[in-house]
Amino acid sequence: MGPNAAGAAVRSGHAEAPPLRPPPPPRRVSGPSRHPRAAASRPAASPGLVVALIDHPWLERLVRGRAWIAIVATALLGIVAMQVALLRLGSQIGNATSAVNALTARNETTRTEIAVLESNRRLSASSATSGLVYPSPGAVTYLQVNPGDAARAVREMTPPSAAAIAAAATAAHDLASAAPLTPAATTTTAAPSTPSTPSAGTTTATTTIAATTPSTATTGATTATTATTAAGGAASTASTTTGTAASGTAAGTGTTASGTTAGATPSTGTTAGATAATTTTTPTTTTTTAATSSGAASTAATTAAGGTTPAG
Amino acid sequence: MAISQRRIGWLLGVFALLLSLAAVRALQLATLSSGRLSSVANAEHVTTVTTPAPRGSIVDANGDLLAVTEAADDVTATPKQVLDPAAAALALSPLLHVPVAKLEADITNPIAPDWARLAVQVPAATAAAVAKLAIPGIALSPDPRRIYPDDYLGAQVLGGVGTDGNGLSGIELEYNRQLTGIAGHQTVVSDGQGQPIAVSGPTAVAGRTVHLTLYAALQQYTDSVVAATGEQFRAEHATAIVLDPQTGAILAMSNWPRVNANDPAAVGLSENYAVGLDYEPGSTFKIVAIGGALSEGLIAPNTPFTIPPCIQVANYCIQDSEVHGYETLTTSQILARSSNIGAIKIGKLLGPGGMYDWMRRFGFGSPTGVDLPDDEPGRVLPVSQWSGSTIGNVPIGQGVDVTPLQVATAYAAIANGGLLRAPHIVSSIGGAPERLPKATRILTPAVAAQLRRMLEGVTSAGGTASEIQIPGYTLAGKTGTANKVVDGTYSHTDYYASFVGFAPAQNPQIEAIVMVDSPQTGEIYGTEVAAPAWQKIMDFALPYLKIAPG
Repeated sequence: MGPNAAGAAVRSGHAEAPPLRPPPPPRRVSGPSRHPRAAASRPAASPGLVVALIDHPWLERLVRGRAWIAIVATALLGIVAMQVALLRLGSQIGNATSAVNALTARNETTRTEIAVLESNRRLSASSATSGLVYPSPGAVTYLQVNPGDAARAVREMTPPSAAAIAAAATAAHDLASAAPLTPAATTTTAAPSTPSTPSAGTTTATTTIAATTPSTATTGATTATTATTAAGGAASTASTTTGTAASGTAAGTGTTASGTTAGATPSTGTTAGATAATTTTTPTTTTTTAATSSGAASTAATTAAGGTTPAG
Repeated sequence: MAISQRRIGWLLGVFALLLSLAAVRALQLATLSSGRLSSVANAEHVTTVTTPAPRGSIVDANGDLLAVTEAADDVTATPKQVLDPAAAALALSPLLHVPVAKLEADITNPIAPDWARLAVQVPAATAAAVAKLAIPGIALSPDPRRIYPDDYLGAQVLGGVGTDGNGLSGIELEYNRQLTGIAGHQTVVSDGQGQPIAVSGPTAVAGRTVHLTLYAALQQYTDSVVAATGEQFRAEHATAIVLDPQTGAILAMSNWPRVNANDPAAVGLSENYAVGLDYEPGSTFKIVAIGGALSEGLIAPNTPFTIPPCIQVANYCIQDSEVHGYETLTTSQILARSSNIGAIKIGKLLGPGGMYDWMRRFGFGSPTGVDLPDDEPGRVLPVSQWSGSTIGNVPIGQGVDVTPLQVATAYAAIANGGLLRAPHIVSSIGGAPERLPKATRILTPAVAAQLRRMLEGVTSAGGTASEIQIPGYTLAGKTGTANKVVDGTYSHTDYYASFVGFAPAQNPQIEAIVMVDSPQTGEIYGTEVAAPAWQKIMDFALPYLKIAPG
């Protein structure tokens, strides 16, 4: 070291540092070589970001300020409010469950009551009391209908007139306010018992039941018609029910293949459908013979020793 | 400054001490006493409620309810908690319709030390009234009850339900799994006032609705006809079945003596004779021999047979019911007049093996496969067990046991063109249609048509049931009268009278069988006992089901 160099060192007040050696290269680590891109993708910046967030001046200002108290208080109140709401919800669910159970039980009871009221035994007894009877097979005649008749009936149907609607309303009002129906006479009108022989699978059923009450016996019958045509017109049926408007039996509907429905016109109107269906009536002539020869009933059984079966 | 710092120090010390005490207490509650405290809390606030599942309804073809479940409760008592048994009994008696003395005795002397059942399945309204009394120690437990709105309607078919809610007989038994729902088990947390604040767990799932092929109105009418017939002839039993021969759907099934479906004990003791009664069919069985011989080409409807006054089979000379000399009858006439000798001759043409084979083909000797319990197979002896006279018995419906439903199923095969199909009574479950049972062809359509024409002769002039007429309809059927076996021998006082047939004869839409067991009024023949009932049923059924004449 020369005097100039020593003087310079004294001036600066520092001892001269020894010449630096370059740092040694990192020791090789066993294992697969690390891809520089993979190393770059590591979240190396995350701790820095968290630290930066914690050390952020805004947060510093928030924590040191009075707003922090308000925020914490609000959060606590929110938690309490949520718990209360949860309890209230649970309570409501509990009450709703109880209500559901109660309503289900009541529904079952009501359904049972309806079933009892609708029971066949009760209805049959009630119907018999009212003088209603099932038609006997001879009272039901089957008319022949051509495939186009139902459509023609629909075309000829007309809506009821205003007078008819008014009459129907009056009749309905009378019916509602009337005492329980006690018909003086109920008759089942049997059409001629000349059953038809179905041809081409098209038949029409006509049931005629007339019920009269003393007050309305002279009002004239009202005709309601039901006409149903299966798709393609392969089979058609039509039935005609006749009754008095006041007795409440005149309401009827007509349904055709095209789905058109028309109400019958009480007391004054006869639907065209009814007319059409009726005019297509073709009584046929199949006759059922009622032979009366006695069978084997009159003869005592003759059995062999081992026992034989009496014939029929 | 020093003072204030000292005060703060003291304050901190006190807080630290209090916190420490609180921590110790919390530790004690949370660890040492936690189990006891939890169970106490749960007992007070958490209850598990089991809700019985409503049993599925049974409805008819029109959707009318035949069986329905109604909410009901059992009234129970915890005797130790009932402070004043006499007062409790007095208050409950008018509601439960139980005498005060009995109620008081039940409470004071319970069947179990801490439990007594005071009433079973009280209606919901009554249960609510009991709850309103708020008697300590008196509690309600759900126990739904089964209601049959029509009481007697098809009671043996619908069956009954036991106290445990399971089906005991009939449809209730056969479809118990589908009708039974899944009970709900809910955990309810209540607050201090007993109000539920949290409910969790599955709710009850109702059983599925079973849709029958029965028509309630037809069933009721058939019930009434069968009851009237049973009473008129003072019969031991009577039964009737109405079915659709094309599909095998049972439209009505009646039994007599009738029972009230709402009386489980009576229903449990009764039997569905339509499927469970084995009887010797008599002449209705003649279609087996004739149908078999027709199918095998051994005879034709107009094949003549010489009918002697009696026919010798082994040691017996078997006669017809009418005394006659030698005569000639065609196959059709043999069936129309129900000639025993003619049927035996035809049976002999088939031989024992053929006869046995055709009995089995017609479904005899096996359960019909109907979806009802107690579907009896009947009894058809194998040929190896036949005696020398068996070939003289079997063709005329003796020596074999059948059920009314088996006979109806065999005739349905004739009616529908030759297909033997298991009858069924359930059309859908929970809205899902049941699959139609598979059919087996046992007759060609031509032979079935021949048999239909021959059976039509039974109800025509000269036939054994010529009195049976329904205006507008051609009828086909067969009468049957059979001696009843009593103590191993054929009785001469007890008979089975039956009639089976369908209409319209050549396009059958409906079939019915009526069987009367042991009519006691002197009339014994199918034509005079069972056929009139059959006619009444068909009189109603044909227009009710809107079957066109033919």
